[in-house]
Amino acid sequence: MKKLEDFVRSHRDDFDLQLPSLDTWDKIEAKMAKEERGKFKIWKVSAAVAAVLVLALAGTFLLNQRDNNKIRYADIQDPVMKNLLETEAFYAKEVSEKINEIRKCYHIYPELKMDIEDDLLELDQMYQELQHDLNDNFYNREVIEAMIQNNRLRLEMVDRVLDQINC
Amino acid sequence: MVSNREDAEDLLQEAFVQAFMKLDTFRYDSTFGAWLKRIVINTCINALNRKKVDLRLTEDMHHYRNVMDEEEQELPLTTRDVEKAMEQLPEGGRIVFSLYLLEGYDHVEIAQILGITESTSKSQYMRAKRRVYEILKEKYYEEA
Repeated sequence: MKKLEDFVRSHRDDFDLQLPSLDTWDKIEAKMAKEERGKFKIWKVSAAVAAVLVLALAGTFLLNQRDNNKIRYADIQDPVMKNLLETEAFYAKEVSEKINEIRKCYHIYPELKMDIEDDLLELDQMYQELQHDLNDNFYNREVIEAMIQNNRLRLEMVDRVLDQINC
Repeated sequence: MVSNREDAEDLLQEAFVQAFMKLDTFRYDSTFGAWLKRIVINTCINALNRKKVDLRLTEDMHHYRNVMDEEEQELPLTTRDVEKAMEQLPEGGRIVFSLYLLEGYDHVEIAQILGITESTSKSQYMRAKRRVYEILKEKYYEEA
């Protein structure tokens, strides 16, 4: 059977004699056009969803701002607190940047979207609660530490996702 | 990878559509040819999975006579006959056979592509090769 292997290897090119039919490119083009239309529809839906989300976010942000005018980060004197808050801000930024990166890949891996968004939403809700707690009680080190912990978790998760989707 | 021309043409079209859609994910960490080849192979495997072909087992009951290399006789080989024999292989065996012998992947790569173990890939390949050989031999004696 070694002969069989040798034969196939030495005649490798002869196995590629079948040519695709002449209309292959036309068919590919037709399928592409169909895909593009499908994609456009999905794109439109996601754009609508995104617009609603942006509005909702902007709304909550404005509301929060009104409530939180009393808190000003610059007023914090305690260096330990300052440090914690900076760490928190760093992680938060890192996470949101990576989430944006993942979201850009959804069109390639639409099946990921639900799973990731579910997990992210859960962690995000926890994070929002912590932020709320922090607003109630600003000098609360445990709350900030919990926020950092939450951000680390999210960071781990998004890193894993980014690793896997390789996009 | 598949055993008839119509399927092959459909998959070729599908693979090219996939490749065009994913063009922006090409990372230059392999040659473009290798990247495209992987897309074609994955398209085939997905299609076979859709047809619920289980690539893992095909641990068929067929008991092969122990045709090890001892009865290595001179069979007149032609590419057409080998192709025809390959068409008769069970899906799993045919895929491993063509990935290894025609496409030049090693068993580690095949294991990764198909989500099977390296030793399954090896034994699948051995079995497929033996089967091809038997088919060729049967044909030879029939015609003789």
